Amino acid sequence: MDGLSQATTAPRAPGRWQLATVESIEWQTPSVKSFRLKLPMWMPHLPGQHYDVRLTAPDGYTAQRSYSVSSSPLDEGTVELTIDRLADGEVSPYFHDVVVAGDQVEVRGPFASYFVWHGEGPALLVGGGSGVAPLMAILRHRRRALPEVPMRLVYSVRLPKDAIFAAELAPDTELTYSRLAPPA
Amino acid sequence: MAERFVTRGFGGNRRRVPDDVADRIPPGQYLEQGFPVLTAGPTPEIDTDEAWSFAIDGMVAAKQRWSWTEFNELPQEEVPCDIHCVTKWSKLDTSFHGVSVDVLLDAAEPLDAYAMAYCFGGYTTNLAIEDLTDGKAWIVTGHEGEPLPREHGGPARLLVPHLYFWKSAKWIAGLRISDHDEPGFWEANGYHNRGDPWKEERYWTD
Repeated sequence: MDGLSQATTAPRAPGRWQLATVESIEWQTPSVKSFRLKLPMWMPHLPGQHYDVRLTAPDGYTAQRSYSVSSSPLDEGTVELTIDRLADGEVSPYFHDVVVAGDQVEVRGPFASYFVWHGEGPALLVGGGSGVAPLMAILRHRRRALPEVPMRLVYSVRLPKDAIFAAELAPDTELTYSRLAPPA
Repeated sequence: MAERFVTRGFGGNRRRVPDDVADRIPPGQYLEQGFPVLTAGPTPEIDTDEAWSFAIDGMVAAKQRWSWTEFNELPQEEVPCDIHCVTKWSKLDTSFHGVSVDVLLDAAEPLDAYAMAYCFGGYTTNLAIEDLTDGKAWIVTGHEGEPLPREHGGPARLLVPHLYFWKSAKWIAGLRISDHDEPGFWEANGYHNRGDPWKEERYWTD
């Protein structure tokens, strides 16, 4: 291989900030939305990795947060971030109350390679609340890429209305309730 | 840099940082009043009489190991400080209590320039000796007047407030001195080798 083509294809993610475009927004629960972002410098993530998001005010003030990717890396060109609205938060209320499809936000990633899935099995995923987001990236990727790998998700929520990804919970998932269960 | 991007509609509901502390919040960080707990693995329970000791080993003139009793007889300091976690929160005006790493390294006399902090539970983080000396690092056993809680690294954690807080290893068991720098746990998993919050050294590529 010649050095030139390597140089010109050198990846610019994950370190560089890039301008993502919000492609679609999906309500998951009364306080959780999933944001599908289209990335000009997309690269495949390992299920479990996160992106950093940066908001900049007109006077230059910035706020950054990290959010787990909840989508499979087979979704080429996009990532889905699933964000819980914290009442006293700064970035999550912005996403919930202001962002509409077509908006642009700065992101960089994917980052961190400890809490990630490389295809190991059997695997038991255990999580609660919005902590299910990176687990959903793993489960979704396993369903599409390695369906033969045994995997179960045990997912705890406070109330039935708090279940994120409710439409995707299937026989490989177990939903538990910590406050109030639905009537039997 | 090119013209700065401004995020549409952002700014109204920002967190207000009091003016007198604004210059103590590093770039990309926000002010946190609590003390969040983040850990890569389970929280170990370490008996200070039976299991705990702190060692300095590797390339040193005189290897050292202190029992809990011996460690508590070393000169202790109050360490008022600000701390900065790479996950974006900063906590100001907190305080820890412990022994300066200068005191510990003086006893061991390091022969080389790098240290690996190693911990009960297997966590590691690497630091240059430079970042551990001259009043910049402590092994702390107390927080704000109380024994250091287990979830925050008790009985003892490393405290290096001028670097991101993953360098302040919880449940520390020792420092291993070496002639070469080697990545620790998070440094091998995508995070910056040094982690200066004022330079925003978060990830490998920063």
